[in-house]
Amino acid sequence: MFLVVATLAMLVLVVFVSAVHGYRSGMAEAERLFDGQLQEQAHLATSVGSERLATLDKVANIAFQHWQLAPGQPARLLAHTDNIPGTALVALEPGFGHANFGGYRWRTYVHFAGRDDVVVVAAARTDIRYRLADNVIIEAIMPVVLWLPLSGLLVWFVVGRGLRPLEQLAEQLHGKQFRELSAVALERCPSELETVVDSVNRLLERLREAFEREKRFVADAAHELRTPIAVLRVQVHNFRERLPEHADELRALEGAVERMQHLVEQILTLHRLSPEQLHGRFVPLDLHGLVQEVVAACYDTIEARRQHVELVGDTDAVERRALVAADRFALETLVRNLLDNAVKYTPEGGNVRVGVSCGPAEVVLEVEDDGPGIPRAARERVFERFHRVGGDAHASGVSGCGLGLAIVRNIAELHGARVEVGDSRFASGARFTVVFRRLGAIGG
Amino acid sequence: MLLTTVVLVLREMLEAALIVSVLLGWSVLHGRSRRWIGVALVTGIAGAAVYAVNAAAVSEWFDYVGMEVVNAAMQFAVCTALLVLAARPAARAATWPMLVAVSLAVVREGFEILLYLSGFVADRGAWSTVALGSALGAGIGISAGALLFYLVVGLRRVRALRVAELLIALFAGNMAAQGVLLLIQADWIPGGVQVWNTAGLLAEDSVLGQLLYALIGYEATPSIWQVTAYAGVFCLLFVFFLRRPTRADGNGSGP
Repeated sequence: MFLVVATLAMLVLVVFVSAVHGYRSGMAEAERLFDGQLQEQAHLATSVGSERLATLDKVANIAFQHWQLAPGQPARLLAHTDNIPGTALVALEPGFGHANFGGYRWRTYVHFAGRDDVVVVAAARTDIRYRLADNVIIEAIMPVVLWLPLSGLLVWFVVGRGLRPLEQLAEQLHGKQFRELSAVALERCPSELETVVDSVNRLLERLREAFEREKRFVADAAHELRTPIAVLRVQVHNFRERLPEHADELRALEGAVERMQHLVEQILTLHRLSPEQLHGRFVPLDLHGLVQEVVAACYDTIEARRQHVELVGDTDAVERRALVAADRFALETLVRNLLDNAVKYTPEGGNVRVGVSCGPAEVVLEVEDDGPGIPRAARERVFERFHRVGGDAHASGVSGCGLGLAIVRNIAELHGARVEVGDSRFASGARFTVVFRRLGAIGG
Repeated sequence: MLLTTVVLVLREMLEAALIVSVLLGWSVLHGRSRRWIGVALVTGIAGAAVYAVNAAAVSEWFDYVGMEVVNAAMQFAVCTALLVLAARPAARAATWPMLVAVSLAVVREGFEILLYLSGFVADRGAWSTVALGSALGAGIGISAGALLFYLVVGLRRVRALRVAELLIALFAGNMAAQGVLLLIQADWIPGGVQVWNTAGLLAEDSVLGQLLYALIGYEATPSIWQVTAYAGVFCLLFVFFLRRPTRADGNGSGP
């Protein structure tokens, strides 16, 4: 908008000021031309005899007087055309002047013929001269003004076309998905934009390499830690056997090692769930069936805490299958993490409800418990990495690394699903809702 | 005739374009919507047309000085709206004083143009020249206004606000001086002594003189009352603008 309006404004300003200047110069030039013509006509009139002078006004809008000068006597009028009075209108001195007669203003020229002391006074109507010049010059300027709207359209079109690659670049950068760092490519890249596109692509490349290095480092470190942690667990177990008098301290140590192992496993899970790792592994999966499997796998833990777990599936979800396009490992991890989270924060003997329902275009997974719940202000942050509600001094006293829900959100984003947290339908507790696009849904 | 038309239309257009550009820029600098400008322009153009149609009747008011008095009232109203805009730092983002100032300025300047053009309604031979002159004058005036707007909003915010404040103060001073001149012409206030005469240096009817009249209210032979009104309003606005908004003032409000 700015470019179009500013360019048009400058164009109009320059063209119109030039037109006004051209008009002024044109009128001044026309004035000189008409003066030259008047001068020539005065010269010609000297050759016309005084007796024929009266007929001249019929062929031109011009008036003449023939005067004769005599030394020591007033000038004597020899002849004049019908359209000029027979009186002196201007001083008989050579050169141009102005006179008013016959209701008009006239441009005059006094010419000394050089023979018999005859002086010719030629006069032309200024309004006719002005109108002639005005018409000619306006005819020349008018197209400039009339064609200007077309110039405006052209400016709008050219600026729009010129900026299109820039808009494409902005659209591509804006439309980039989370962690999508592939190079941008324009259909038609003008040379002015090549440097920008090149710089952006090099920046994206450096960013991608940095992410890769970071991910590889974390994954390698986690992988390398697995073996020593396993050895540590075995050794702690052995010590507990051998040193029963230190059983309490060693149990605490064993718990810490378990948490460390859990953390390392979660870090490796995060790495396995990167877009590059998941790329092309999406298959149709029945979410209801998968949830059943995960609940069955976790049943021992749930039973150990004497909790009551309920799997609810609406008729549509059970009979017509709640199909989603997903990576099996990722979806299993998502369901397990949500279930683990609910089980962990629900007191012994509490309730956990897992529900799968189908809408026309979506499949909804709900996991809710009757634990302490999550305060409204803390709900957005629970999905951040290493964030635990209430910090390390968590009120529940439950151990955790703060990665479980971050992994849930990561998986949801990778599957184009949205995850929300709210109040459970029990007297207290939290409810996590994940809304997937239903596979085969109309318009889905 | 073409040059006369260009100069007259340009002079009036420049006056209107100046206030439209500066107040629109002011509005943008204060983060307000630009929608009010459309309302102000439509109201102003409609008002100018109504005024031009009734010009003969208006001129008979107040013992045949109605036009001078009404024009002076409009100049003072524009001036008052700008003073209101500047008086309270909290109200600087309010759109209604800007709407009033632009509407009345457009009525005033548009009326002058329409009155001039109406003189050629019967003279069909002159229409092409008058139309061309009007197009040239309007084109130059509007383009200058658009460039001034981009110039103001293109500056760094603090500097842009200072430039806009200076231009608003000059415009308001010009309005006050013109209003006083109209009242002198209507014999409502005495002529007073002439403060200076720069007609020999720069004639008011020269092209440059007319442009300066439109931009800063140049007068070759101003009376003491015109100079007093100009300087008074300019200084008052200048002092108002020196008062910066405080936290307690908030961001102001508008319709």
